[in-house]
Amino acid sequence: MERKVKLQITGMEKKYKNGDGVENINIDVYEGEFVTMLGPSGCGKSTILRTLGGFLDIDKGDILIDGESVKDLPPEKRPTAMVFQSYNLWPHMTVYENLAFGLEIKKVPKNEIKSEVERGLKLVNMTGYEKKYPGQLSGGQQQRIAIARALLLKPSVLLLDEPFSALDAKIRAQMREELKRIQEELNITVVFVTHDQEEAMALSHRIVVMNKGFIEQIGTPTEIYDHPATRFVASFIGEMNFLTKQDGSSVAVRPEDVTITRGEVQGQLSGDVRTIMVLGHFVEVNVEVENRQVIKTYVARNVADQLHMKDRVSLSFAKTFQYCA
Amino acid sequence: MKNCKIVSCGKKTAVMALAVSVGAMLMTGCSTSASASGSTASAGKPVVTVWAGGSDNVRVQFEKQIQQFNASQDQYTAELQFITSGTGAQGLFERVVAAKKAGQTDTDYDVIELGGDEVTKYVDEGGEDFFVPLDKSKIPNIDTLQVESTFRNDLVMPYRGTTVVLAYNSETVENPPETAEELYQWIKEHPGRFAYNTPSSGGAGGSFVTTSIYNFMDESALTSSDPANKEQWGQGFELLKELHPYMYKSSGKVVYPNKNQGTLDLLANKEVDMIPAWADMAITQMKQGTLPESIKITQIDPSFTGSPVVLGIPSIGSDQDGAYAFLNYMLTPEAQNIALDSMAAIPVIDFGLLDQELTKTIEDLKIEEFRIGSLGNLGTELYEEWDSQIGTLE
Amino acid sequence: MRQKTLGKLFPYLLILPSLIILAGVVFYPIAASLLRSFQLEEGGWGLDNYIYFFTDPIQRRNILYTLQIVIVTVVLAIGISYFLAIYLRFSNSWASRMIGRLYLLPRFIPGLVAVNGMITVIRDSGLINRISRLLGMNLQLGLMYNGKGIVLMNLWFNIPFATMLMAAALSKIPDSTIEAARDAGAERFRILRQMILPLTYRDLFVAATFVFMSNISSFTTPYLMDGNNPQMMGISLYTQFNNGHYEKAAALSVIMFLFSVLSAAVYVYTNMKENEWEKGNG
Repeated sequence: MERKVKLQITGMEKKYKNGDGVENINIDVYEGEFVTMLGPSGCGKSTILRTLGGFLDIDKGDILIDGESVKDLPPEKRPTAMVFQSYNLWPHMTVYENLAFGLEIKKVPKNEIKSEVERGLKLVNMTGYEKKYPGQLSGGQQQRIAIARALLLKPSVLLLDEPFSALDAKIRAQMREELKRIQEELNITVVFVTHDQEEAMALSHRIVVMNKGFIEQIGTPTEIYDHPATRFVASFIGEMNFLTKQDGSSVAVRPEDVTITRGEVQGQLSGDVRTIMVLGHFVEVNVEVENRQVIKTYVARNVADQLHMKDRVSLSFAKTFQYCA
Repeated sequence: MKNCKIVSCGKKTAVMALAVSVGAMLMTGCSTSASASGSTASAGKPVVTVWAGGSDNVRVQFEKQIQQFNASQDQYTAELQFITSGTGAQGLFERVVAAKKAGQTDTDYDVIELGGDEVTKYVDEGGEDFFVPLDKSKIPNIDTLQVESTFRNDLVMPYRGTTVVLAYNSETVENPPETAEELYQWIKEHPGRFAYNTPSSGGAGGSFVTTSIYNFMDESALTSSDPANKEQWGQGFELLKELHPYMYKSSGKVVYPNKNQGTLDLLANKEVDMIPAWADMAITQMKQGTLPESIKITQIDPSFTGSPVVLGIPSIGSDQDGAYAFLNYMLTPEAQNIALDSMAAIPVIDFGLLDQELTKTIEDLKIEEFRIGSLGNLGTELYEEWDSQIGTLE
Repeated sequence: MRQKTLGKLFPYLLILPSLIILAGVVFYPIAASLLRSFQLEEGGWGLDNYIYFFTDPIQRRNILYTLQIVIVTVVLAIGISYFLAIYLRFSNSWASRMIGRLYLLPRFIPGLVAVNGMITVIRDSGLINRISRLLGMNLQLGLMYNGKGIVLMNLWFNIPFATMLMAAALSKIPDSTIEAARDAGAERFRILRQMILPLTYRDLFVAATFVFMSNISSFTTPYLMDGNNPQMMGISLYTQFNNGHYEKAAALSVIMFLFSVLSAAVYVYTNMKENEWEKGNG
């Protein structure tokens, strides 16, 4: 089935006066797709999001939504809606007024606004909070309202700029799940920005890994995890051991792809057990190999039970990646 | 008349609120006891503090005179305390009267300068014993004095005079009026080209108003504060009402500027051609070039009024003998020459004793017609009457 | 035990000097003026001095004239400052940064200098007139000796101050508040009306109060720029004082003080009143 491209970014460039910025950005986002921009802070992910929302002008390239260029439209004219990092509900308006604001601008009839607002509140499990002011809500509640507010605008593309970063871990996990549910329920196109790879993996259909203003890799979470295209992606996504070889190139291996055997085995890398940490249903075992390099491994409890500190062991790798120096 | 009020006169002329005080260190030159007087004698000589206020040329005059006084004798050291007008500082009147009311004695208010008309105000607020009654025997030079202080000759001594004249732009006025009648005629023939300042904000306008009214009355009324004279003001006010529509206009409305300087500014900027102005202000500003060269002064007949500026010795001062010595000095030809030179003041002693080069500079003032206007508190009422009758005309 | 008492008293001892000074230079003069305002010039006590100012046609006109000038000043100063501050807050242009650096400059020019400077520019024979004559016109602004010039001068003095207050208020509005509104489709005017105004109206009142209070008793500007009639209250007070009507002058001071108190009440009220949305979760 041919999927429809909802959002298309082509050859986009945006440079700030100090030289930072993004360049050569090409991304297609399909209808109903959840795409996450992932990268360390300063990588340019928020810059891209703000150019999509219309809060930043672009220097080169184009942005198309539903096939139409939006690069010259101001935010109020773009078919996007944004949820910001800070809770930016309007503090002087009630929850109801916050949700109704955009609908009033669109001249939606009063009774329709009322039912829309109710629907929005129900969607984010905040029914009954109409009359509260933002200052009377917790951070998580505020962010739900912010999401509902953005959704009520019926955007072609919903933009979220690290919406959960100010929340504590437990609420964050809960909000993450709810966002996923809402996205699937409404089949809405989402561009999400985060620096939290776990969040990106959990939510996204596809992830755009960014570094220093460039796209390092675009792919599904599995692709990114299983086939990191660059050394940066390999190190940024999940856990990865890097073994430097004599020629300067390195071999990368994920901890779960390492098998430990007691004693020395011909042809395998050998080393000494340095630490054993029980992490629940599996155990992290760190092995010191040649040149004082340490390999992290995840092993099953029954295997780990037979290992002791300073034991001599051999390591075999199920899957490795090669990166140039 | 120049009945200025405390602060208002502000400008030069001076008369206003100035005062001089001679602070001597304690009693006459005697010993060392410290007192409320702020200064200490440098060479052990008693200090006479002279208090004055007003514009800068008054200060320059006093500085020169005090320098000369200190050099001319070695009994006293005079010092100047000067309150510049318009700085928002508390005026001399308020300060010295407050000190008197607070019961202070032995202060450094040894000699104060004030307007001839202000005496009554000082006495009203500060009490009859505010000034030391002058012992003329301690002021030998008083024999040469030609001008009387109109009020309380027993308490204060004139040391210079000042008069209002007609200042005009000679480019546009070829034949200036010579009499008051001609002036009123000129005003009517040249609508919008004459201005006088509100009488309560400065003596130049005050003199115009006073003479316009008192020219209809007996000359002796001009130096009387008898309220009965109010009865005769009517005719003069009618004249002022008649002149009103011909005064300077701004956005179509007749305007009486505030302060003596207000009308001088209009004249300097050629927004008007003729104004009443204090002679000393006009002459000084001509010298400085702030008034263009085309501006000339003249006196009309009957002339505008002037008034003496006087010195008094507050009873709360601490060095009366030093104060007397300073007063005596101020009547010497040397002191009078300084006043004449630095602020075009009218000397109060026989002109024959003075530097003839200097007296030429005030020839235009027609000193022989120096006409003292001194209404005392009645002047205030006259100006209030003007405020309500003329000032409010549309 | 003794030490404990001393410890309790200590803070009060610290503020005692300022209290004494305050009593001497603020409370005492106010009380003295108040007392004197009820004394009659011809002896005795009564309300006559107050009645005079509200019944004498000249004085009543002076009061109304003063209020008129001050209110026009407040409206214009606050209006202009508000839009200037909004411009400075939300524009990042070269011009805005320039203005942002320079707008406080008038505060550093001494009042008297500024007034005289303004007069040389705007008087009918002033700089503007001279320039217009070079161009073959004879432009006479007619701003001197009437209320227009005073308002102009008041704006010079008050816009920088009010802009500073408004800029501080606007800086408390996060960018994302405005961005979210734009995102929801709001254009400029709606953002002003529904976001910026509700979030800063209290600061508007505060600035208006300050402008009102600093102008109700103004003296220098009207003294140098106004005509002789009607007079602003500051001039009127000066005249009363100079003419020796100390009791009437005291009454007029009290009246001016009451006007200030009235506007201060607005200030206190707007500051005390907590909006529903500011009450928090309690």
